[in-house]
Amino acid sequence: MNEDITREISKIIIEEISPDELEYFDEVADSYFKNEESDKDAQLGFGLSEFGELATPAVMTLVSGIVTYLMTDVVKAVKDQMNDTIKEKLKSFFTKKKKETEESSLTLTRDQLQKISALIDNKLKDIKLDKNTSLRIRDSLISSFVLGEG
Amino acid sequence: MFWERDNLDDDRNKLTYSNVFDYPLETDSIFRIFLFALVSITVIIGNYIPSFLTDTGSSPLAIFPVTEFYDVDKVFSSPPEEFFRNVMLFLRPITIQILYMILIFGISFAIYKKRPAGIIKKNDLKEINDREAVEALDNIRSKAGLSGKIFYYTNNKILDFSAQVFGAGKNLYLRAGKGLMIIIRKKNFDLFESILLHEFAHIKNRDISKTYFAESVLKIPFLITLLTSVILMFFALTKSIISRMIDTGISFGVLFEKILVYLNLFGQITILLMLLFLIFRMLIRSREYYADLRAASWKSAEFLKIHLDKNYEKEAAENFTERIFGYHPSSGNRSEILSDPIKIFKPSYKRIYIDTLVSYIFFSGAFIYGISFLLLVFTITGYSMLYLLKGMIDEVVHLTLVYTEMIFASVCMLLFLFLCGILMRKTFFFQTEKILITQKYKKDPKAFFPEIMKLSLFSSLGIISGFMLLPLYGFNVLYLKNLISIPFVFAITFTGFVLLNLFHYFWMDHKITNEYKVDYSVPVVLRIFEGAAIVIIFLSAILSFQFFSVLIFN
Repeated sequence: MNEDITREISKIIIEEISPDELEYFDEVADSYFKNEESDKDAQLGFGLSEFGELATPAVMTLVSGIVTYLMTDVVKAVKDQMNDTIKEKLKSFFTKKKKETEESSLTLTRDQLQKISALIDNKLKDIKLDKNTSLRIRDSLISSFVLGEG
Repeated sequence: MFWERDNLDDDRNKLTYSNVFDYPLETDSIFRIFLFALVSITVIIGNYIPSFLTDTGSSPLAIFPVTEFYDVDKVFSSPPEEFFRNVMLFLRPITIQILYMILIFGISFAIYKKRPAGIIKKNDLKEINDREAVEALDNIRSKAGLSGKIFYYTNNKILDFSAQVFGAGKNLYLRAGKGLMIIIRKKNFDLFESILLHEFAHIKNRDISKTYFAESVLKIPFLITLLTSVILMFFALTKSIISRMIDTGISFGVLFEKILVYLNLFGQITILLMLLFLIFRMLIRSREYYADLRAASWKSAEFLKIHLDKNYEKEAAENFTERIFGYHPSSGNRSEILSDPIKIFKPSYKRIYIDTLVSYIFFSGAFIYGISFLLLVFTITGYSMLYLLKGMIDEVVHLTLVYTEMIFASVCMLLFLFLCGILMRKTFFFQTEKILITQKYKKDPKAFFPEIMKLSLFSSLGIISGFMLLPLYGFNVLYLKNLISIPFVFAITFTGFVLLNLFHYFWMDHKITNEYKVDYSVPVVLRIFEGAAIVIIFLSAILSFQFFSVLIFN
């Protein structure tokens, strides 16, 4: 289920920060989950650093981390609910829908929000995207949660 | 000091990316020697195989004790069966060597030829048919000044942003990941073009055949020779211990000694092969700098540099093993050389050490097997002429024929040695030439004399390491007295190298540092002289390692 949620949420973020990547989003997402990588050290080769110029895999890495955290820490309370409901609740963080369906969305505590924020910063450090893309992704993710803060 | 060059000219020329290619590529000549060294080692190790199998305890040098054949009178007056028996005694080691070399080259060549198909299959590559993509690649290829056919291949991995060139002979291939072809081409064409220019630079620098052929040959010592010799060593050791136990009983001392000898040999072979493997990776890594510089001579280095700088921090996490086994130098070093290409000409002590070590292995192999091979072939031919033509033609004509053959043999052997020397000289002197190139372009060059002393020191250490590692007559745990010759060899080689380096430095000074155009030509006579001088130094080392131990202990 994590894969589906990650894919859907990432697509929402990409729509906002790098819409031109939607063209090959599904292919990139498939490849990301298959863990396909470049052979960066091939004999007489030249490999670009991890994700090249692309925001999608970086967003997916971040979203995947956040989803895992939310699934283990935040959704604990509602784990008896149906999967689809949980999925909807998680998605609601990233969609405008959440403002309209306040009742069904999850809300985060300040502490949880700080944890997510630290998680995003750590992952971004590891990924080492260029500054502008990093900032755009960070802003987009953080703002989703801040808007939903309880 | 007299050797310090005055910095009169503050406006020295700036070394451009194209200027780098006014000089030979550093690893061109060492690659050739490296290949020969690999073959030498394989033959040296391979020659142990029959001796293990037959438990004769003979070394490759066992060819020489068959001296009775050199007695002319005996050969002349021996009965036919004895003559042919002796001929066969000579032919046996030659046949083993030749067959082993044919086997090595045969298998290496087959691996080399099949490698492109292997890469295509392993990576599931498909030829690029998209017209627009092919056109883009063709344009970049034209920018690189390449006119020959290159087959363009891609894979189905959208997150593959890498490219690679490979091939065999005239069949050249480019693999460009789907991500690179689709995403990077659209999002950042300058980076896409820079990456492909870097790849085409490998073709321009003639890296493909060198790399892939050396890799194919390297697989043979590792996979065939090492495995076979290890199995046979174990087999011979066990067999020898069991037979001794059955016959006479075996003491702990004898057992320990035998195990020690085999361990010594195994250790030498393993370290040597590992070292050659690492040297190969190092050579490939240094070709990357030249590919970057060549690409930068076609298109601004800025795009490659941005990428390399971005990659640099990430690489800091790479461990030591990844760095020494990797095919690429660190992004930091690459970016630094792109920023200041003169750094590629910084004299390297590590490089001269490795170059001399590889040259020593090559020369020992060439001397022991090449010369002994020629000697045996010509001896058999000469003595066969002496024996078989006896009484058939006039005695004067007969002897003249035999002497002519002997003179021809001596000339051939000398020419062979010269050829080895000429092959080694380019590699050997490049570090000295780097001092001159640096002086030409750098405002604060280092004083050349201390540099030459250091280069000569590391060259001598390279020779000594070669002696210790080569599983011939060098390091042996049971005969540590062999090591007593090392200081003498060091003194001889160091003095020789200092003199030779100084001579070359002054000879090339006005040619390399002249302000108009680099004149890299060296007259044939000088090449022969320098080649011969190098041969004499290496030969002195090989013979001195034996001579001084014998002299002191006898």
